[in-house]
Amino acid sequence: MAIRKNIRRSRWYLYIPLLIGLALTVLPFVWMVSGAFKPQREILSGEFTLLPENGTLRNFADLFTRVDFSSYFVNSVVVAVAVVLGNLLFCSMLGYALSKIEFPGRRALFAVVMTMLMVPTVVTFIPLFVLVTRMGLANTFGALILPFLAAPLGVFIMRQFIGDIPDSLIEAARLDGAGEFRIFFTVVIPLSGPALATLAILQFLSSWNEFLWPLVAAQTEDMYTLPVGIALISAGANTVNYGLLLAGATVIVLPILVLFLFLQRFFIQGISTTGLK
Amino acid sequence: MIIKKYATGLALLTAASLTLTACGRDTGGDTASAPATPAAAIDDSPAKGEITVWAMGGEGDQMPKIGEAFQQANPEAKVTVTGVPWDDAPTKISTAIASGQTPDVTLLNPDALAAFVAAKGFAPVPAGLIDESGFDANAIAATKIDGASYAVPLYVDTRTLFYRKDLAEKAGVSAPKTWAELNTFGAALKKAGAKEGLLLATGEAGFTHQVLLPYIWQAGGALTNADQTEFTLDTPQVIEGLAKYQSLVKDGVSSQTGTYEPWGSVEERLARGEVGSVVNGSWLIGPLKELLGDEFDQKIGIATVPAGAGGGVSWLSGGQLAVFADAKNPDGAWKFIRFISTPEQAARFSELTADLPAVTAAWGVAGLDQDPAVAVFNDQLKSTATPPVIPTWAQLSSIVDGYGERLARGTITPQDAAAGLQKDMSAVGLK
Repeated sequence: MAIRKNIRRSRWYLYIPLLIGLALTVLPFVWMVSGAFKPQREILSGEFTLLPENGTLRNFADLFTRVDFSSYFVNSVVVAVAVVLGNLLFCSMLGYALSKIEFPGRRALFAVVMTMLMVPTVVTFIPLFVLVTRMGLANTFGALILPFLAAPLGVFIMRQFIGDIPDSLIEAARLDGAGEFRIFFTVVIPLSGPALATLAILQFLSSWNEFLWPLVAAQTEDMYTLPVGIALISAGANTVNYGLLLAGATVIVLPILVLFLFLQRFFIQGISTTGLK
Repeated sequence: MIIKKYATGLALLTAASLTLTACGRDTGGDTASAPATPAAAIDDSPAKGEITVWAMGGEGDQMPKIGEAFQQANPEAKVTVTGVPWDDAPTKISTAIASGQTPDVTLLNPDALAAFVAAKGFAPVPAGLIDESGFDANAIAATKIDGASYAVPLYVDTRTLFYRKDLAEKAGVSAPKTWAELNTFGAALKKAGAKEGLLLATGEAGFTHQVLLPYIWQAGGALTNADQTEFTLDTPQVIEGLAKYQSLVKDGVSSQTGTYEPWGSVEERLARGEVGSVVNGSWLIGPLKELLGDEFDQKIGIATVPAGAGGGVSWLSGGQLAVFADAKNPDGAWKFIRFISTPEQAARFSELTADLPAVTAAWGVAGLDQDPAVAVFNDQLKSTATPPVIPTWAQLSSIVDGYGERLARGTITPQDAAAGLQKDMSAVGLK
């Protein structure tokens, strides 16, 4: 408490750069939302205005009526939810195995995970697509979901976090006769809340915003996800409907904001504790 | 048509897909340079089965209407059109080719064709499918690789000079017909109130070359020799073209940092009078009429591009339809392409999209010859040029973009730029 008072009294000036930073981060976002309510002319007028002069709902009306918006939305939700659930399960299982179970090749396996973390996705892009196609999955939800069910970053986060759970807890459970699955589900998972929340947000975010993969893997419009759908309707060959684009971006951001508000507390805790030994 | 991110993504992905297709698919033969034998002729019987088509942007929106007409004429066929975002179409097409999981037909830009053909992605056009003499000659040329044709032109995209007629009148100048008049014209518009006399793309990756190359052609220069075996960039004509481009900035007619970005803002800036003149495509007409309403005729003038020693040559691009080598229904696909290439359907497609038809006879059917604004484009089409149809074009065009920026900034002389272009582009090569 004493420290906090001290800060409040003598370091108020620290808030100036923080406020500037905040403005820099938030302004583009505010501009996006306000642009979603502006007619095209106003967006391109070259003047920076925070509030629309001639506010319009036409962009949103277009977004919801002109295109098959609901099907893009449903596709995005199905894919993101499946990817998040898959990651929560598989990454935590892998993380548990890599940190708490002794088996030959454990270090090598972890090294493989770390390597995968460092390979840029574009490198594996075409091989992955060929693989998915040969499995007969092109243009199915399988193609959109399966390749992303266990992200290397998620495995890393979970391994670091679960590694911090005291061995004595797990050994006690083992002495009481619990099997590995029982230990995993009743001891490890309940203790991993913050890391799981972090993982859920990160994976939801990346799946929700993913553009290139669904663009290629979905071969008909009924399989498009939101980002692909919005690119399709807002950008023509020689014109871009910026209002529609910004309205779409605003709608895309909403679920992420809601998710983050719910998981915010865990998220910060998770980020700050993983990797600390 | 003009797509920005296009070039980089295309270069990256085609490089990857070329490698992959080389080992992954068993199409036989390993160079694309061997002249392909045209497939057997397509008969006149009705098309059958499902025909899947990829079409981009507004073209993708309207294509289903042509598909419906096709289905009425061919009751056993079903045309399914999937819309694809323009910017990312090359990625989607090259990945599809690499995996062998393709639709039957796709729309594409001519500058992307050669790379896909090199990856063995497209089938040659069957003999006698279309009458080539009924199309714009340069658009047909842009479908040919080593003598074989791999696509059928759907629409053409050429650029003319749009200018503020009212400002020109105020300044007492008329549309420039020659190079000599261009700089004074631009300067006069600037004096009459425009911030930019002539809007020039200078540092736009993926686009500057579309603005710069026509100056080379207008000076009588060419990128390659007639056989497309070597570059011919170190010539007096090319130097003159580059010098003309640079002079527009040096004379203060155009800004050093001119840009067409953000996409869709050119018409706004022209309507506002910020831009005095700009060389751009026919898609500007619709938005300008919408922005200016009754004032359009009074404020906007359209003229063919000013001529240098080599004539008033303008950029030609457009849209073509190609059939994938792995198409499941090639017979139906070619029949659909033949259908959309009839003057009636080409005219209807043009009416739906406001694109300029590649089929010459469709201009009359669509009544395009009646519209004075569009008629200028018809004149311009008599004098156009296209970049060489080669797989390395994405890489080469980005080299041109780079030199364009340096010329505009005045950090290189036209002589050095020509020598540099010759050296850098030769290093990439024509194959």
